[in-house]
Amino acid sequence: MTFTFPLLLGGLLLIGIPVALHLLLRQKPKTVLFPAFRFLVKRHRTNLTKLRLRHILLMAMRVLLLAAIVLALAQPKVKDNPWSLPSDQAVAAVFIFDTSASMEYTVAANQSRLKDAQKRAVEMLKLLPENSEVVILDSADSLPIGKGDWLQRDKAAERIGQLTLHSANATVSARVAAALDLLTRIAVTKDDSQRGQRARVVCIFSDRTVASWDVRERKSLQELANHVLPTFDRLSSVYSGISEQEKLLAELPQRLATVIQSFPVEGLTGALQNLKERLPSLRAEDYPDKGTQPLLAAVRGKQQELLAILEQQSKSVPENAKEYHTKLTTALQTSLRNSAGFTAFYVDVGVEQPRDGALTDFQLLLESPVNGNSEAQFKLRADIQATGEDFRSTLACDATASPHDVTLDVKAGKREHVHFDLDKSKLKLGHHQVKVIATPGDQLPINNARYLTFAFRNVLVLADSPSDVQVQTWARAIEANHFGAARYRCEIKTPTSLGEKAPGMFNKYAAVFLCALKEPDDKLWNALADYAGKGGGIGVIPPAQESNKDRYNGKAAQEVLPATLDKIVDAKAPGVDWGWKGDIYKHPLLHPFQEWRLGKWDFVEYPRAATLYWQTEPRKEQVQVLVRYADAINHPALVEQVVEKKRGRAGRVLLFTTLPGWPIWNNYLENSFYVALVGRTIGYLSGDDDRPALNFISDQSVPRVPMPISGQAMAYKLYRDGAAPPAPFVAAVNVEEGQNEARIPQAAEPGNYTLRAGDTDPVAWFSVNLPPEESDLTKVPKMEIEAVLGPDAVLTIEGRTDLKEVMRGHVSRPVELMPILMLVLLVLLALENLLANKFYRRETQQV
Amino acid sequence: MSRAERYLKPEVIRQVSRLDLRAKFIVEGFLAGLHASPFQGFSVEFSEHRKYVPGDDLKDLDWNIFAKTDRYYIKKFEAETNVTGYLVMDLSESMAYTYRQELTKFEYAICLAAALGYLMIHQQDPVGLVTFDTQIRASLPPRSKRTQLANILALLSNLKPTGQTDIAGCIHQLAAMVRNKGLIMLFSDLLTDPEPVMKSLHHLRHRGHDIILFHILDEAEAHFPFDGLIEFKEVEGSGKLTLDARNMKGDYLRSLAEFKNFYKNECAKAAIDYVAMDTSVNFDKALMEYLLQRQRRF
Repeated sequence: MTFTFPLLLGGLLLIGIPVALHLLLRQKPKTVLFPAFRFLVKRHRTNLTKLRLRHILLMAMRVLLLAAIVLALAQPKVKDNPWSLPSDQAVAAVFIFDTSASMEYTVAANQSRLKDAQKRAVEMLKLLPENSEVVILDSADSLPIGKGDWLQRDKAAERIGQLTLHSANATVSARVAAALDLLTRIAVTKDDSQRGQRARVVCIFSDRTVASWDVRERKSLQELANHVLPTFDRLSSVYSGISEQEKLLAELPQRLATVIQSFPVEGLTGALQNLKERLPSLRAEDYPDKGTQPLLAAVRGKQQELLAILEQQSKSVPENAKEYHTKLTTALQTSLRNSAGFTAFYVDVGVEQPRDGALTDFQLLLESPVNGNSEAQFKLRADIQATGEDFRSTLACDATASPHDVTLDVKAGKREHVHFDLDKSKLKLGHHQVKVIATPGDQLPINNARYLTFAFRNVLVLADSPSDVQVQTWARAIEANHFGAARYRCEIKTPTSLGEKAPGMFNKYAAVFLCALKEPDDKLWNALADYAGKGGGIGVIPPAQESNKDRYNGKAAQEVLPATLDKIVDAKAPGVDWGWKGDIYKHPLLHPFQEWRLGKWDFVEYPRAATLYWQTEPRKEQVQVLVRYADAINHPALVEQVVEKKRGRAGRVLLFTTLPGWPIWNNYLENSFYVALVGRTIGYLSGDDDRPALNFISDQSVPRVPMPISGQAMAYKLYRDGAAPPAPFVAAVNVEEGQNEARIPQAAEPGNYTLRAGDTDPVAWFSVNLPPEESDLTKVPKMEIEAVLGPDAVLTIEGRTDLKEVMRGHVSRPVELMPILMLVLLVLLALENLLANKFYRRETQQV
Repeated sequence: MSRAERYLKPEVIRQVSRLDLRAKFIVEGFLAGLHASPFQGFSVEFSEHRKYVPGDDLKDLDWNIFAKTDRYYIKKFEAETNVTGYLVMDLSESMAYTYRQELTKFEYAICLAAALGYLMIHQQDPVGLVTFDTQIRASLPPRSKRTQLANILALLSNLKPTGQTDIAGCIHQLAAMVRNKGLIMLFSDLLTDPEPVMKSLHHLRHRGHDIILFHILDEAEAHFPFDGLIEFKEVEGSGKLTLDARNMKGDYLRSLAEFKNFYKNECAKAAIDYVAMDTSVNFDKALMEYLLQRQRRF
């Protein structure tokens, strides 16, 4: 309750006057002799009680009369829904807008969801009381919120009008976390702005799609929300609700025994008790204080926990406990509303039954041949899903593929896929960019196209004899692997065929393998050292003869290699397996083995073993033994050296101690262990397994594109949907000296991108696509959102022309009590007169 | 209203100090109001003449006397069976009560008794007086001589109500004392337990007496005009009660009505005339009651 003239409440002291008069001027009875006394004796007790009651009644009437006069003059107002949007006092509000791609969904009159959200937000602004301040948050932003972000309503309306869709977007729930953090801070801030004392409001404008709200953050969001302190005037209602909750919780073990099994009720009753003891001692001038926040947060946390359990078990509540269940749920919800530090509205501008055909995936596949005669076939696969209704779509692919376009029917709620065959003979080394488009268009055009960049990358395999079976097998195993859209083509060369060895000669290769070279010279080692220093990946299979070890232990070789070679150890048949110890899986190269070993893979059932291996002496700095043999001394099996760089990806050198696939040395080739080892090695050394190098999702992570290693800073131009003009120019991109990758935040919209240095051919290719989940227009359950924002926070807009209609019952309007008090005053006055006349009418005549 | 009739009102008669004048005024006022003389048809044998007074029946006019003297005389007749009356006065302290400072119950009763005595003497009925409180205090044997009225009035004017009373005991005493059948006119406020009183009245009735019970209450006792917070004190005791009079009024009047109804019903059963009066009631009601009673006898 608030008062227009609170100082007048001092007049309540006047109510002491009738009490004092009653006590001081108590009527002295007149004495009368009366012979017929006997007739009075019978009923005098009842009569005396009635007399006293009348006097007290009259006094109470006069006290009430005075109190009503004073209260009426002070002009009290009450709020009809204290937890709703205030309409009379300025508020501190945070408006959060979902600007993700799904908000492009358009209904009649080209009204996108974002446009609708903007319109609703302006309507909401009008509902806010005068002098309210608003912060506008965009789900695409991740910038911290500063004091300058508080805007008056007119400025806020301008800012809302400037909002646009962003394909690179984060979840709305992430921005809610930022808003709650902001509200927590202002709730404990005492400054001239008085934001801390104002009612706080959070308004979210979103289509409520699953991609917009991360349900896994529920717990952390609840904790954040619980730390926003309520305004002081809400504490009285929090306090008054505690007794009822304590009473209900005392009955919980008898009424709902199943709840007790998963919820220790003592925790909540204890927290309520602590709060009950603290609240009466709080004074407005000391609030907010540090002690109350953890107590309130503890109570709210446990209330939410219990509420969640009650909701889960609501269907299995026994018939005789249903009333109790409802009572407890209502009491908890009311308490949570009262103790909330903010009022939240999630304005759902989404469409209840959306219709959309969406391309959700586009990828390159290498399909194994059905029979052994033909070669593996490259195919492009496009996935399309229908939402809301059946779709007939034509998918057109711009690659040299057959067929060029495919028409297919997709049932509502189903996902179908289409294959486009690629002619392997026409696939050259290097990068390729393709696009698939679904026609006709629909109400959400942004997900009607999908982009793909794939590359055939060169891997150099150096061997003394390229025709060796082991070398050929190694190369084929490399080519069989792919990471993301990167595929490999191996060049098998001898050291001599390389010609003059110079720094930079290996820059074009994704990785370089030395396959048991007998006599690598220092020039080769120097060129390799330069390559590793620029972030290249080198795999070294040691020589098969001890006599060649000097070439590996020389100074130039040791600039590259992580260890010296001592001697060849004969482990005798059946040989030794790797020592599969827990900590080896921490390394990214070996990490997948942990999962594989849990499965029934053949190399787990039948472990591979090395009978011959080099005894090595790892150097100490920047060297790590990744895995050791399970022999008596635990000789190193794989040794790695990381060549750190100031910027960009570090170089990696991996030294095998046995010759993988050489039958005398080990039996690795006899099962899938060999392929797995080669796959992990090429992925790790090329860097393709730890980053989607060519295809990116337009979330908030910035595309990091592999670049040719350059000794100087370079300026590039970024184009979309085409390698050169007339393709649209997007931005200029600068890559600093020594960088082997570029961060390109400008590439936010879906499309195929290329980077060119001047008029030369493109040097980098990549694609950006929408996150597939952005095309999932399924709604997040209201319960998930209301668990964080409070009961009834979600407001559905669809079909409503005016937000006011939706907000009916959610806006707290002050109810003027003066007219009611004036009526009460009149009634009291009449009653007082009536009673006084009735009691004293004849006394004046007779006494 | 004639001057004589005015004296039927207690508040007027209060201003007359002499009791004999009070009695005269009351009776004359009463007779004037009747428009017919009560002094006829009571006796069959001529006893004497008296002067005609307005209201006398013309058939009793002695035309012979008129012829001789040219004056109007009425023939009077000697009653063969006269009514012997006893005026019985309660002297309890409660009879001295008055609320409006006009006539006390006792004064009212005396006026009434004097008037009745005056009337009876003029009717040639012998009348006596008995007073009592806890016992019979004074008594005058019934006489019909004119001097008897003076004696009665002299005694009445000297009476003072004080102390306790024992109505029942005194009536029993009276029953034993009065041998000849007569008309007992009891003046009392009866503020004591009613059952013993009724028993004593039965005793009296059993002795063949006719009884007129004048139940005299003060106007305040009859109507309970009090309001507000009042401390009531007992007259013949030390009891006190603080009450809201307005709230009590209904209960009081109900209790009083029950009390009076008890006497009324019991008296009716015993063929006793019960005349409830209060000090605001005109005296003619009492006199009329007497005359009716007398008429019923003959």
